[in-house]
Amino acid sequence: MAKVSIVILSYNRKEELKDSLKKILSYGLKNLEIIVVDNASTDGTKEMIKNDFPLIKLIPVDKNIGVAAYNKGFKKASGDYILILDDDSYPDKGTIEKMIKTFEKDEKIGIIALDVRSEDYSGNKEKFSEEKTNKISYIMGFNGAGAGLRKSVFNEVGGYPDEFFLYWNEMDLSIRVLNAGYKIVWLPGAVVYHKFSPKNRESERGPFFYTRNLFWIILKYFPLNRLILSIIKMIYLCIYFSLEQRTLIYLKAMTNSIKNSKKAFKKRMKVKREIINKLKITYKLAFTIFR
Amino acid sequence: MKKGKVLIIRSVSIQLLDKLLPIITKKFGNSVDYLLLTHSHSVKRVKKYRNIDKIIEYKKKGDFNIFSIPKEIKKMFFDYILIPVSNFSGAGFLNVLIMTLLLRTKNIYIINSKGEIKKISKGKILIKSFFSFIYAIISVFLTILLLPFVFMFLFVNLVFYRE
Repeated sequence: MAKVSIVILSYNRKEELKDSLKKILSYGLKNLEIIVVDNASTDGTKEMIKNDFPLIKLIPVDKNIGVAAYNKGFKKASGDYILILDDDSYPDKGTIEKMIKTFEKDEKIGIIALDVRSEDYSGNKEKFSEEKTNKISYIMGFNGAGAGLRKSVFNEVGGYPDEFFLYWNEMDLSIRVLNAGYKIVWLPGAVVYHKFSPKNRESERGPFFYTRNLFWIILKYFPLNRLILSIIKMIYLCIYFSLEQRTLIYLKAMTNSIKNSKKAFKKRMKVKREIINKLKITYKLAFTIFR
Repeated sequence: MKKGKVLIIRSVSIQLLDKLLPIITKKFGNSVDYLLLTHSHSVKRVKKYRNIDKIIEYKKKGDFNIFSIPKEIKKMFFDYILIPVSNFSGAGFLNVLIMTLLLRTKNIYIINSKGEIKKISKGKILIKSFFSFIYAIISVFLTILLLPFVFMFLFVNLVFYRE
């Protein structure tokens, strides 16, 4: 069996991570490497890994650098395929085998979006119909709480964008993977459970990064005519939702994205028009997570 | 024969819907039909829900809007319409609320990310729509004012980004 490296990014979720690791190890899979990149947790996560899971590779990061920390794990991964997980998600039994099988069927598959399902903190799972098929579908993005990434594709196109910190990082990577001629597929029935809980929606972090990074996606990848129209649309939406939700956060994010647009322009590349046309970018998403 | 119809408009991620659907079905019980309106790209993914009796495809890409309501649901009467939202207040979902004004129902609810179900009247949606219209006019005006400065700044950054 091909080697798989699981890369988990942890940040102050010691108990959830411990629970996930126990579940993964209980499957008794061979040829498996587990890498935990710790984004400067302060709750004892690093100590827990060292003491309870000495065989797991721990990569500590000095300060919280957001999703860019994943790239350290991706680089270190020695497997043919990488399973990307959050510190509060874990694959169901059989998921990793299904992922390998799918990757091995077609070398043009760059990313496999796994079937990420919610599990609340008391362990309740929504009751679903049994998947009758493992038939893949071709899609344009994936959920970073549970996805497979071909290591050679990471070597070719890179990982998550360092400048984003949080949010839209999956879309950014997806665009580069698709543009390099690889496919992203959704694999039903290859389940990853994610302990989803409503965050503090008063937090301004979410709307800030969602808005700023969408500006940067547009500046990095959109052809000029689409770029102009999309920027106009985004400016309008930022002003409109600032008025509707009585907040300055969208204007702050817009100003930040424009002021620091050099960071996006440095990575600007030509993307095939059909990819941009097929992308399902919901512009309004950034404005629906606050309050 | 079931007693009524509940329309759920999928305006949030599948993962959040995983969490909210059991709360909805617990509240409205098994004696009603559950219909789910969802975009074409997610039809396959929502087939996993055992409690959904019918999936209705929203064929237009992008946000829900009043001009693309499927004919099929325009003809139906719904006892309840449920709009899941990804925050606490429902801010940012006015386009979905406005869409419900054109559907035949007396009961419109939002269910927020904590799972709280709140009724919202058609009158309140109309008031929100009025303010939305005012905000839209102001936003167009301010966007036109800002555009030259934004594009000038972006152009300078694009030309000199290597420095």
